[in-house]
Amino acid sequence: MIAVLNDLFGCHKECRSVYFPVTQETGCMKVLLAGLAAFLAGSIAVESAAAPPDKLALTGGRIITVTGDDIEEGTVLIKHGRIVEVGADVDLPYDAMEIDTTGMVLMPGMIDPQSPRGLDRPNENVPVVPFLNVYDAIDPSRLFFENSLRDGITSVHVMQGNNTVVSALSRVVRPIGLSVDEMTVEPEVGLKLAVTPRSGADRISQMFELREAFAKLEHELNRLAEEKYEESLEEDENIDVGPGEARQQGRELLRDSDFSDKQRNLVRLLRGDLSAWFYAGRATDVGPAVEFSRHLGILDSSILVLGNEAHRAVTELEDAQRPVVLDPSLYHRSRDPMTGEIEEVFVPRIIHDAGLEFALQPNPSASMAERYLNYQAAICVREGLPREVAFKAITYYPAKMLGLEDDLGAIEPGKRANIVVFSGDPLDFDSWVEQVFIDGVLAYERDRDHRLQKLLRLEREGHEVIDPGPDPDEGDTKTDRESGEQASDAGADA
Amino acid sequence: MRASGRLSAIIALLILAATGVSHAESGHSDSFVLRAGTLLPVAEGKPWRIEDGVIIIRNGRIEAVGSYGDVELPDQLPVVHMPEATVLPGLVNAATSLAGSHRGDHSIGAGYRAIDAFDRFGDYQGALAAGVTTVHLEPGRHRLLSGQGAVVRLGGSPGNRILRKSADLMVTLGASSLQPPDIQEQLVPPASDQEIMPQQPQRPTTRLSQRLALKEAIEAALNDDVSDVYDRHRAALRDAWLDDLPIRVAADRAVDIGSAVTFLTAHERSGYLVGGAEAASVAERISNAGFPLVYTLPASFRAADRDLGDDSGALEHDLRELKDIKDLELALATRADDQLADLRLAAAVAQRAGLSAEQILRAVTSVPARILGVDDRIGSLSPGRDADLLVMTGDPLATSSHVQRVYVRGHVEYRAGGEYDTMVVRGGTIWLGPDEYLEDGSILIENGRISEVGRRVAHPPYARVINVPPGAFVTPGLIDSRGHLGLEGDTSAAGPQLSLAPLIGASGYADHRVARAGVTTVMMTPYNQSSQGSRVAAIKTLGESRSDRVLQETAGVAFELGNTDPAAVPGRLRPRLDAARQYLEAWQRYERELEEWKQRRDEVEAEPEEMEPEEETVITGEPDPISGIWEGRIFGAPIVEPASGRVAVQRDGDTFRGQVIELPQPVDHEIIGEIDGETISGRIEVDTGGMGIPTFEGELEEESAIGTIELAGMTVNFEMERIEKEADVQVLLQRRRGRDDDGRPTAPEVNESLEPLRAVLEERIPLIIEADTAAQIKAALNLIGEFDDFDISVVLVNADDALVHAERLRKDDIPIILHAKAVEMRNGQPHHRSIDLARRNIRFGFQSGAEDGARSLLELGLFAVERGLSPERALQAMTIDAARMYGLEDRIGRIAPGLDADLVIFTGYPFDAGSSVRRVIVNGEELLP
Repeated sequence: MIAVLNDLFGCHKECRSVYFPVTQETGCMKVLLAGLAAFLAGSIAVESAAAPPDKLALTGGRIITVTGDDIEEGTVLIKHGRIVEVGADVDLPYDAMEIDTTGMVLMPGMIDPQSPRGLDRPNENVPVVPFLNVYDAIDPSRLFFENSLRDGITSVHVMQGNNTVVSALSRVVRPIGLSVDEMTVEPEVGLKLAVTPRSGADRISQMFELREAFAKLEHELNRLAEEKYEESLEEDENIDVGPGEARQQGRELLRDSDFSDKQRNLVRLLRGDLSAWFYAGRATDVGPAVEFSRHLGILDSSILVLGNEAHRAVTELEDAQRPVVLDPSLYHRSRDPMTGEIEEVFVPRIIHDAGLEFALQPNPSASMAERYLNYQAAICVREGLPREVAFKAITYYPAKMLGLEDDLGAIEPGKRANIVVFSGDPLDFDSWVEQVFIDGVLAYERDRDHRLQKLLRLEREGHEVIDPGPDPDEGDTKTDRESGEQASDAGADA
Repeated sequence: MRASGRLSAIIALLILAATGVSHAESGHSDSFVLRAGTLLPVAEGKPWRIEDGVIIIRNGRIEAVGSYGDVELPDQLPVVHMPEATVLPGLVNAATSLAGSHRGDHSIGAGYRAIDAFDRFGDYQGALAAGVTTVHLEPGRHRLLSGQGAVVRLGGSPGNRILRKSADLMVTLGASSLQPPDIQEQLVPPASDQEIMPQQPQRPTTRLSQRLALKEAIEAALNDDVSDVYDRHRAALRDAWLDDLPIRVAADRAVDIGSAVTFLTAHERSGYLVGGAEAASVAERISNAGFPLVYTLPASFRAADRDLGDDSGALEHDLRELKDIKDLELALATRADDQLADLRLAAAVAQRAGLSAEQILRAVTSVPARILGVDDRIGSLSPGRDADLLVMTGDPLATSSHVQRVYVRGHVEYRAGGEYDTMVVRGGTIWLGPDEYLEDGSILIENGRISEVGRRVAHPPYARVINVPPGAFVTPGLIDSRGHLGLEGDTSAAGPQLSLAPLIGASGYADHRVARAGVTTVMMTPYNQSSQGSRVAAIKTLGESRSDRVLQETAGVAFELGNTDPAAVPGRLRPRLDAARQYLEAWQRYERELEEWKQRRDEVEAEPEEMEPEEETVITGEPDPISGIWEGRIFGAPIVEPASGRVAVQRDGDTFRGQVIELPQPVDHEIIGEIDGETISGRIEVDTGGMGIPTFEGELEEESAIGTIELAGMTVNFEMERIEKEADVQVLLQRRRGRDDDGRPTAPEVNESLEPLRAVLEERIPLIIEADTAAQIKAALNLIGEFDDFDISVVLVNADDALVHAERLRKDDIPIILHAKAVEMRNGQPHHRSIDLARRNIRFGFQSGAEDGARSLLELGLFAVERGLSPERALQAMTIDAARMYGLEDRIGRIAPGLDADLVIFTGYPFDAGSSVRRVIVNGEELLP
């Protein structure tokens, strides 16, 4: 619908994405759009906000399905934003819009398993904030989303950074859209629980605060349950059960509406409705993280976000059998205390050998190719991991962690039509992202990527190329914000 | 044949070494038997000390402890044997600041747990290297109740390191906890209806309020009225109190300690005190109240760079007061950040105050384990406990002892670096040389040499220590003055050009048997000497390679007069000595000329030298029975696998020259031969590195040739076939030039036969003459007397009639190597000739005259002593006198700095009845059983 509006207003000046242009045209345009978005939110499904062709067929390309075998010269048939058929011989409906991808390689849209980079700042200065929601801090105009799209990432799990004790509620978004609602794929995913001390804290107080958060909840729920139980009694009825039994019965009477904002998300976390993303920055944190997760009874819905050194606790990880998100730097280097020799370890190999599913993260602080998820996967293959595992680590496994494996992470019928079209094998260094389809909509096209084209043109003309930089129309303020974003990221990593 | 014997010896050694390695490395498994010289179990109901004890360790736990022989050893477990070592439980440091001080705000912070700060993947090699395996973690001493302590191991797999997560409640009385921060309960999110709370001051700020604050906190925690505001610390304190968690009270001042005792008594709590300095003065009170004391020593030995003056903070320790207090459960600890590893040293300091070694060792092992509530896991060597062991080189409290290994749950977590490079042999009586004894002395061995000898030598950390039991006797390694070890039965006469060193490889079974008998050096002499003399090599009986074993390749030249008519003796020796004299003079002349030439050259400032064109001889062939290209192989015993190759040969009259072609690497060589009908013979001019020149003999038969090549007494076969007759070959031969163009004098050709005698004339090695009769001895000595411009050192062998010339022998200081059977019947009694020589002050040595029969060398001496030789002389004869004969006294024969570390440890004086060789060290390596 917005696309239609765009057509009506005829503004194609600077396109951030093909179907969702950002315009500087008029203030009234923004107001109009904002009003429209507010109207649409909640009532109309997000997919219908755009008006893609009903049926779309990508034909002739090699399809990396990830969960099944690769298909040479296959066809993906998309209907209403979902994949309906994948194969070598697919009968095309007469009314399907056919896009020829011969010579190209199609893979599922990649997934950034957890990143604070869509937020204005990675963390609060208050350590326990389960009552907050990243919804309020996602800035759709951030260059990060545009870059993600350009790099073939179709889903971003926006989660607060590691500099916390209990983080805000996270969500999964697409890197397209003008409002958070429009971007949202899954509004409620999980909370981050950091075992590694946040900056300015020591290990003792960090663990104390983490335990305190849940002990306090337990205490409050008990009181709430007792009150509830008392309320449930008739006026003249006597309390004839012990306090434990009363609490038990009271607990069962508790409804979501009884909980305060501070309690609600924690309760849902304990029920397993939200996943717990434990941040274990160092090996010694893994044990306490798993232990605490078991103590809370939420191990089955826990994911471990590991730091660069944490793989040393592979025994504990193996024991827990929970999926892990790996640190962006995939090699760990350590110096032997006795011999002084530097030992290099390829972390995904250890995790894979332990039989664990893992997700790779792009490395935003790297100036080189580690910024690309497909490159991270390529390193895994180079280091001897099966190709299938490397692809899953950037698509299917993170989708499973997010509980969205029915929607994302593979090219198979029923899934959202999130497809990246590469010019060659995604693990080849000279392959480009040619097109990105998100929910069946052509969200990115390299030929129409103005910023990229400008960059390439400058290069061709022999100009000295500086960093892609911010959108020229957005002026200096944006530049400050972007650099601020990076600085705070670095802070979270440290 | 001989080479294969050598080969099998090497293989056997390799196998032995491999099994040795597998034993040594069995520490990788956590099931094994540890056998050690001394065990200190520190366990109730066990003897304090077990000599030659064993510990059976299964799955990282101690299964049984006892003395070797008393405990039945399971067959299938590997045995780690450390005969010098003292094994005790890993040390327990009951007070450390390893966890640091947390940044929590609460003055009463029972919810803080020190365990959270523990890095279970951390590397604590420093502490392990000092023997500390278990420590208590304090959650800081900056708050009145700073949290819960924990007990952890510093090694082992990360999952097994935690012994107690929550071991105690840490209460600190005294100045350090008197400045709690004001507290602010932050409300999130602060809003117009949620005001930011003001800061609230916390107690205690004075000593007075400490106990009150504690009392109130405890009462509040135990109050069943649940308050509205949730306080995690209150809940934690309540849980801890109801669980009866021990209270750990830290206090330095006597007044605070007294207060602590009152507090614990009043609340009827279990607990203990941690204190330094002034704790001693109130120790009696602590003991009477029934509380244990963890006494923390400030390790001032790290840096004593300040005067203490009247600084009230500088507390004087007086452990003397502690030693008399009966029934005090005392644990020692070092708490400061960098002193975690100083526990053993602190314990050693405590010993000065008069505490018994037993008391001190308990105070760093079993007592702290009990206080911390982990005595069912660690702290003693008793069945069921984890195998956390400390292996020391000696008495654990001696400063000269070092940590050799540390086991945690049966795994080696620390191993002293360079465990075997450096060695200290200490104790017993050390025989340094003639009439020089050192009682209770010690010897430092570094890199195979003795580097220090004295009452107390340096004990570098990680040196392996060999404790010699009292009464034992240490002597230099014995020397067999004339033996055949290593010849393996080869009785062929070896010419003077032949070095025996190439026969020596890694020491094998026979060598080890000889070494085991205390003989560390054998003067290896061929069974039969050539008429031109034979070389004698000095070899060690233990070593992993030729270079380790060969002490001196040519240590003497031996002549054998046998039945030679005394009148013929000069005719036998003179030509050789004359030739040697000429040879020596040629060399001396060359050296002189070279010196002059160098001087000239330096004076003239010679022009840059031009490259000399090599003279080339091109031999073009013509058809004949030998010229052409031959292809074939060489094979035979010394060569493991046959080698094949091609030889280009060119005939020139009755002689021929040739060269091996298609060598993988260019080697300067030339085959020079003669052809006589169908017989060919000749030599191969090639540098064999002192092993002589290979010669060959063979037969031609039509187009093939077979024969043998001989080098250094080894023979290989060759068979060749001519593949190209038309010798259209051009063999390029490079030949040595006569005299260099720049006038440099040419060196005389090295004559391997005369080299040994040249060394004799240069007085580097002795002339060894076997002469039995008085006339032979006289003739030989007279002849040598003719060469009086040289100071030839002579050694006589056998010399049965030596007494006839006793006066001359003594005057000229000519030693004698006694006949292996130096016994004669005199007046119906067996008599040993050594006694006569000893009486006349003639030096002598003993010879075995055998190969591995050298192991009875000591018995020869024993017999002589039994017949009346002074044992001291017998020992001299086998050590320093034998060394001196061969001019090797600066390498072997005594125990002095700079000499080879060849030592024999006897259970008593070597020639006393019942004394036997216990251990043997050769070149600093111990011969392992």
